[in-house]
Amino acid sequence: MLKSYLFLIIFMLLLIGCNKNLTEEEKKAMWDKAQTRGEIINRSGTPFNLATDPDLAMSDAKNRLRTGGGLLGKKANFNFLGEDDGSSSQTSTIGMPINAYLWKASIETINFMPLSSTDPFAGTIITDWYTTETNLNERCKLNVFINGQELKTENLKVSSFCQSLKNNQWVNMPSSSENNIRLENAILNKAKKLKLTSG
Amino acid sequence: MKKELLMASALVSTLGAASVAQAVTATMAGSMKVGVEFESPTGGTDTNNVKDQSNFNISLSETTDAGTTISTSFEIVDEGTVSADDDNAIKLTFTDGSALELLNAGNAAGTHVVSVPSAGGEQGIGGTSSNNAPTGVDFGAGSTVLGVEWHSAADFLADGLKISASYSTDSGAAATATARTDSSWGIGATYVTTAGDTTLTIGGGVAQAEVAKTGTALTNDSNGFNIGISAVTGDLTVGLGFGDGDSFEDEENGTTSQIDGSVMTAGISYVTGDLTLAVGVTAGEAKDSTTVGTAGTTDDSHDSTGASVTYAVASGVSAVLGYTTVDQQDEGASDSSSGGSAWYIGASMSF
Repeated sequence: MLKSYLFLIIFMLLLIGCNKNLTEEEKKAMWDKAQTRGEIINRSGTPFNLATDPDLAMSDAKNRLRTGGGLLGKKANFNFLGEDDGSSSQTSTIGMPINAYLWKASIETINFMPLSSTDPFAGTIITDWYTTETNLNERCKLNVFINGQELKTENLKVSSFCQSLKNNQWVNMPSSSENNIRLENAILNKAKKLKLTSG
Repeated sequence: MKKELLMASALVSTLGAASVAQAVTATMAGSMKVGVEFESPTGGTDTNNVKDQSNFNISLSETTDAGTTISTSFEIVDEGTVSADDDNAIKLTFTDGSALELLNAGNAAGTHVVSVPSAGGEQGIGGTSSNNAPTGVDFGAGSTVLGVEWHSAADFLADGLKISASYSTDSGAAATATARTDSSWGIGATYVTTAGDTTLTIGGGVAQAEVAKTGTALTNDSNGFNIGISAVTGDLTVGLGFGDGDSFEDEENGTTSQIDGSVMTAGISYVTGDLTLAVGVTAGEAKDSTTVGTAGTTDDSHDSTGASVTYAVASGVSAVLGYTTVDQQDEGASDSSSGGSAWYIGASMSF
């Protein structure tokens, strides 16, 4: 039984004091070189399953990693019913370094708010303060950041700032991450709808 | 304001849900290996064999509005004279990077086995033997169809850490005289870190399976652990793995062998341009017994050394030249029928 827990003890020892202060890029680079079967399968793009046939999955994964992909390109799989996987999440808007669907969806989703500034090249949308008739003692503004050309969750960040009126002074309220996520979901849903309806 | 945001969110969600009701994305992919093997058994006649394996995979996936990807796939396999189809798990991949596999799931201990460099190619000695020395470090039993496997996101609990857990339950079928895996569980973990220009991967897992069998029970149910470490420095990869555990084997004559074994693997690979050079060694030993319930006393062993040169011809295509030499002992005596040396030259293609 002692043998069975030897590896757990080694893990615990190594966890102490390692990997501190790494940037997201450094973490990603580190994981890109991880050598367990699961990690190799994940990054190779092989469609074969480690659970049902580990030898086949590992053999195909190593071949794809060694040769830079499959016969039909870097991405595994040939899509025969839908769009090409490599292009389905990107748009090719010339001169626009961000995803056009995310940009348009962001503008449309918050069009009830006055805009303070927008920059399609930096991917920023900053609204002015906005107050509803039903609650004149509260106002909010939004910062929307779009990064990259792919239509994915990681490329969208929404920050909301709200203030309440107390003694004729606007006082900052705690930021609501739940509202930020709801708004991000609304924009992502809108972006997906735009992509699907664009043909 | 918040109400209006929520209203906007709900409205867009409703519109989005209606608009994405389209067919799932279907993709196909596959691989093929073909080559010639030259076997020279120590106690037998030299033979030449054509080895070919063709595999075709259909994958289906869709991403929900919430960002969760639902996917599954099945495979059509043709390996020489063996044809089969494999249904894979239904996999849910969540926005935070974690994933859950349902039905036909794997074992978590196997997912985190460190991939130790070894010779490429399909060379080996195909003689018959009752040698049960293990050659792989994963002692985890495969899931029954009623299994789940959960994978955490990267950097779970600590930077560089990822863990998995799996469980599969009893199918409900009555036990027979032939031993079979019933329920099982497994846990596994990977820790990756850097030391200068070197990336270190440490992985391992523990697995346990209940064995269903009428009559005399095995001395131990199937169980074991594996641990390994790998270091990548530039184009050089060095790895070391170890596994220890109990398992069972249904012999061709209808009997069941219970096995208590351990195995060590080590290897090194180096990439230079389009060439990959690899050398690997495997040393396994076991005490097996065909008298179920009575532990074995004499060692079986398997010692092999392999080397290969692989050339990346084009995207998805590689050519490989491999060599291996194998020394086996069965119940303490040299087993010349399954020992010897073999060459292989062939190609692997993926699409």
